[in-house]
Amino acid sequence: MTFLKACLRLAAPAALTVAATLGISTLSAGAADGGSELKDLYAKAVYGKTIAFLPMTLGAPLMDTWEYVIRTEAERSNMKYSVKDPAWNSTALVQAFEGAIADKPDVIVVQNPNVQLLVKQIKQAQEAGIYVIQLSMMSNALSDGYVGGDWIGQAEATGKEIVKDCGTGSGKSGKVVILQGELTAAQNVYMTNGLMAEFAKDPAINVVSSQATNWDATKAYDITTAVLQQHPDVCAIFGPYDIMTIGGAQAVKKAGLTGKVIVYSNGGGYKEGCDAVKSGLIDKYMNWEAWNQGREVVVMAKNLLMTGEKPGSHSVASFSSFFWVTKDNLDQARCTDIPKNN
Amino acid sequence: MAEAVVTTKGKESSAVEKRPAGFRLSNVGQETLVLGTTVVIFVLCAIFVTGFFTLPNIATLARSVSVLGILGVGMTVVVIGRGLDLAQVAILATCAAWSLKLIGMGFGLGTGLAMGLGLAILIGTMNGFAIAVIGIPALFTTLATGTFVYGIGRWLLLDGIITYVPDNQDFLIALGQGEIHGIPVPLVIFALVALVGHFILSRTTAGRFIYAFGDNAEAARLTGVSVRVLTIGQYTFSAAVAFLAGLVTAGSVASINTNVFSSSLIFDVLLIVVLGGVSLSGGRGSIASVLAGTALIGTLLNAMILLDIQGDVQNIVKSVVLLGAIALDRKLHPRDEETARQGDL
Amino acid sequence: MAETSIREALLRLRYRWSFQQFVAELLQKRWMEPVVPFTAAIVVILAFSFLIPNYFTIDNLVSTGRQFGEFGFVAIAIAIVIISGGIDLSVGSIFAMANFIALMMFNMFELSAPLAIALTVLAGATMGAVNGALIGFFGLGAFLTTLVTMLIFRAILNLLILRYSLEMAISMGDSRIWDWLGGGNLFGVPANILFLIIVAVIGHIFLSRGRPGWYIAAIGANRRAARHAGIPVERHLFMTYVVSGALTALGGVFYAARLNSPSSDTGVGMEVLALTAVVLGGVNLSGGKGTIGQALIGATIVLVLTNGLVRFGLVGGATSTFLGFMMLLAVGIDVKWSRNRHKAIEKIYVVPSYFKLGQRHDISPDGASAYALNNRLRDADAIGLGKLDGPEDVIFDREGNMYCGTREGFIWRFSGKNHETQEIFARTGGRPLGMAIDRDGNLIICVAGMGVYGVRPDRSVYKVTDETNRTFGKVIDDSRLSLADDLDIAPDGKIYFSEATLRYTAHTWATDALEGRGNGRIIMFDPVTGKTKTLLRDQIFPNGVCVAHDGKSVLFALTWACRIERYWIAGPKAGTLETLIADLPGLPDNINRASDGRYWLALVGLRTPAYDLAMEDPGFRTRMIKRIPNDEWLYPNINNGCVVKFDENGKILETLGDIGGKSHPSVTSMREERGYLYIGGLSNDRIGRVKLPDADPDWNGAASYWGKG
Repeated sequence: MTFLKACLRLAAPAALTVAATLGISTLSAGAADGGSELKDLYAKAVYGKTIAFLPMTLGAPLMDTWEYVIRTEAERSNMKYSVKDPAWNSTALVQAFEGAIADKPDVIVVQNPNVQLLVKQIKQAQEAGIYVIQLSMMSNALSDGYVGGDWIGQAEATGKEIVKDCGTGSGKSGKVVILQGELTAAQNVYMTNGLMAEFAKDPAINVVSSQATNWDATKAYDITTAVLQQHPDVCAIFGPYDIMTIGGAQAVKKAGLTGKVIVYSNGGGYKEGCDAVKSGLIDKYMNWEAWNQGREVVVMAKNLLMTGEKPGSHSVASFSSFFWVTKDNLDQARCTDIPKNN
Repeated sequence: MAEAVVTTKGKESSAVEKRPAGFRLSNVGQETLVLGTTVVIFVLCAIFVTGFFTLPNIATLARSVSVLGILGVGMTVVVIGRGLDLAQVAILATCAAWSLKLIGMGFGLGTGLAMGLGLAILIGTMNGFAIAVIGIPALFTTLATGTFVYGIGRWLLLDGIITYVPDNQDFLIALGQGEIHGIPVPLVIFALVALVGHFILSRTTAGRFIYAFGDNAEAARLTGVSVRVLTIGQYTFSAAVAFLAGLVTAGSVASINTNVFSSSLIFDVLLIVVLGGVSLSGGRGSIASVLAGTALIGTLLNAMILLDIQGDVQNIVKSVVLLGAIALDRKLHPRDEETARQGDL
Repeated sequence: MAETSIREALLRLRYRWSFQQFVAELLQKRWMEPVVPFTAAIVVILAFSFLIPNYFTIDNLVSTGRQFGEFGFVAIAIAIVIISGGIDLSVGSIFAMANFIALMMFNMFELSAPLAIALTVLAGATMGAVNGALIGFFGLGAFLTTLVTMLIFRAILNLLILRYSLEMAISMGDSRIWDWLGGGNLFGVPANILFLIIVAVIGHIFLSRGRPGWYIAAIGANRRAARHAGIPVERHLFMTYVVSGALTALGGVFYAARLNSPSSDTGVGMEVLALTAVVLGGVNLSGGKGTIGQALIGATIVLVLTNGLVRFGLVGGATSTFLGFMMLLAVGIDVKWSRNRHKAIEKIYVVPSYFKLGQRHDISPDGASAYALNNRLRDADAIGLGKLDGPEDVIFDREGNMYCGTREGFIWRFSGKNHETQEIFARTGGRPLGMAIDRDGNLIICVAGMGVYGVRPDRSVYKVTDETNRTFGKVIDDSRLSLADDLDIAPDGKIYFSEATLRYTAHTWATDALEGRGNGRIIMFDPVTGKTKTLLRDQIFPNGVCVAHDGKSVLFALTWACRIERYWIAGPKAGTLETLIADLPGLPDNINRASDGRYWLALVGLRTPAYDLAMEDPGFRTRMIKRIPNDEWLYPNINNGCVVKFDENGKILETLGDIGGKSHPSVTSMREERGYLYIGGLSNDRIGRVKLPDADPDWNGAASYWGKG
């Protein structure tokens, strides 16, 4: 080995050590610094930013749950928050969205009544530099983020459950009633198609009624009552929205068939839905946890803000997990409730 | 000065057209025709539709139609007086929901109901006042009041779109779901309200005056009928009736959904009222009309649900039936261009 | 004395221009009818521009405006139907259906944009035609029928959506025109607003100036009368619904281009909003009255309110609360306002001013002044007694036939040696007042309420003029002649006539006296050019007009001012005005030539101390008008008058009267003819004839103007 090489051999680790020492001291200065550097980045990206929430309406337990969670989380995170109430009116929702763009928030969270309504407006918002997160109900436009149920997965799981309870080998009639929501809502289409696909696998399953209720409990009640007259031996009734399904469940109760007809429903896990399980109106409740979705929205918003990327450059999503809630596991059901006077 | 010569074309005319006696389509009242149609449809359904002619189903039929019928009685009293009450559904939803909320807050059944009824009466009086004293047309007033009441309810009085019946309110639940000797309670209430309405219209002076006012408002006023009080009374009655219908609705599904305001319920009410022969230009019709209309629509709706007919197709059928009714009305009571009043809608 | 005249000068100044009159005139304007809705619109817009930041920025206005465009079409559509006396509840469903059809044509069938639009509007017109056929031709009630079609169209739409929405969701048409219609601007104005304005302008012209538009309003106002007038009612009703459907569909097209979404809740409740908008704007729900402009004002209010409230972040119920409250308030006020507008105008219409008259001459019969009254008229011969009703003026043609105009609008002619042949010569259709004979022997007459008319010797009646040039800067349109009173013809053929008052009519002229203002004018008509021109404005009830004997000036009487003025029309002073006689003891009416180069003047009434005093106290008159009914007001005395003769310098020569008023209490005109003086009176039942012993027995008025033969 030449002297040069020996020097180099010595120098390298020495240099490395020095560098490492220097580096460590830098790191530890930064670790005392690294954590706060991250906090600084976080604060600069998130503090004072505005989240604008646009649900389809306020005043329904599902939307109110989201509203409460998003608002409290945003405010506790030193963010600003605004909400508008279109009261189920899609024209008003478009106006609210365009108004929201004019207010120049940093993130808009929107629930789409159908897949086409807000496509242009979402693009417009992104071009104006606003991140758009779609909540629960998607549109044709891919935006920066989606938080919501995995409708296809839920449909599959529910369908399998119903087939298990009512299909071949269960000893039941196999008759199923589907209480649809609104025929053209994306979620409704996915659920219905998914269910029918599962039902097709078992010839014993017979869907005797599949009508639209427009999310209204009274309509569900009337339809169920009439169907039970004709088919008192119905095995299962399903509705994708718990508040609506409760109407059908009450028709079952009135006909004295509680326990004989199995009532399935999806829901967000809030008080009204859980109460329905507790009182026996709903037998099997698929909880996709609206409360969690609210939190995930705020987390996603913060993350998007921290990336600093231009809106519309990426798309991320979080499909909610779900689990069955019955009377037996209510204590683990993670039911939520909004405090009064919030 | 030139003299004007006036000649009348040689035409025999008499002030009162004499109708020949005997069976003619025009002699038979519209109520009878509608009832006849109902019977026919009923029999057809009993034969061809499974599950129709069972006691539970008839009970269901009666129950689901009772709310419509109760509202129809109130509407009839107003329409015979050449008015229109489009605020009924808003009153139904808001006042009954408010009562439920108050009861839930601990005010007690009696107080809660009294407050709700008081609110309904206040709204009805407001309607009557705006129409009779200020002079705003009834169509517009009740539309505005309905919007206003719905808004106040949703914004200030209530806590959400749906208000649930508080626990342990068996009386309220019984109003909607109970039975008396096998007859559903809503039907009993409907019968009672219809009786009261019939009594008012046919046996009291106020009722006579309502017919008179509906037939010729100016003449009624000139002969000394206190038309303002009469009008206020009509709309107050309609509002109180709407509140009662709201309680029955709350009982039957254990909740009130204020979004029922934007549904077509009010048009269904108009449907049964007009179907039975009450004319929107006032002065004609009776409670029997409402009963006939309710029976027909109830039968039709029930049959369609049993046949699993889509909601939209049901709407088309209902609309065509209404069209038939107004065409029939036009045939039975042709509009005489010379004597028709301006402003008949 | 000096203080009094300063005070007088100040008073005169103060009462020269009246704010009250300005307001009264403003209220009369037709565009003041929607004053309540217009104010409401302004208030709402201002309120929201305070509450919502950035509301009045261009971007926001454009984006809000774009949302307004489609609704504007629907508002116009429903307004047209309501004006015709009907109602259209199906507009919401037609709108939604048009939205769907437009998207289907464009996206699914991939038709070109213009074709898709045309087909959609056609579909809308067809749906409207269904309404129109049922309501117009079959005679079904509008409310229930459109209710039914609303439900049927909506149900059909839902079924179509069910069947096709998935297919439509995945296909997309591509057209620059479509994109521009949905989201483009022209000079910053959104595309749909642009088309809305074009349609609104066309619609306004159609409604207010086109015959179908008039017919529609007539049918809405009184269907029976319209039918009797021969208007084809059914056809026009049919047409209104077709137009309504087509316009609504046009709105739907823009909605489709903008949002590209066939949602099943499109247009739900739109009929209520449109109805609200239209009624808020002031269109009368029972029909017959309304304009496109009013519909758009109302639509603006509704849109700004709903849009603003949603953006403000209030719960959905708040929008309904405010909307409902606004509906009740605005319509309640508007109903009261339109009922009482006329009463309000009446209350503030009469605007008394300060007017001081000069000394009152002594008119006592045994007095020394030339005004001393006597009874020389009492024994006048009565011509046409019992036949004539109010011969205001009397005149003679070259042949000596006598003419007078009466209250019924007739021109009587009396011919023969002793005026024994009495016949109706012509019918004017108005209230004939002052008369003159022109060079060709035509009778030129001032007809109150109509203008200046002529009667040819063959008895045909023709119009000379009924309008003059509009005064610049005046609120009301004063180009029409309200009360043409008297006229005379200058040697060059020009007709000079007076218009007594602009503010009052042939029936209410006496109230003009209480104002003491100059509300009248002197106007000139030139038969050569056919033009009419106002020469003098703000005259205090100009009445009698007479061209002086030398043809160089025009004398005219100012009735309430009690003076005679002279307006020079030729010579060095041409165009100037001077007072000839001031402080007459009575109210001058007609002036006519006398045979001796002088002039006769009729005093229709004599001044009274009470009235003179009242004219100096406008406050008193204002209180009087407000507090006591019309027929108890203090009026100038027009019960007792007389005839006066004056010369070229304004000197009074003699007086002829009838104390106690047995034959000729109130004299409005007198005409000298062949040695006699003929007396006319506005409310008399005869023409009087008095012999003038010193007058030229061959003197004829017409010859005096135009020469013999």
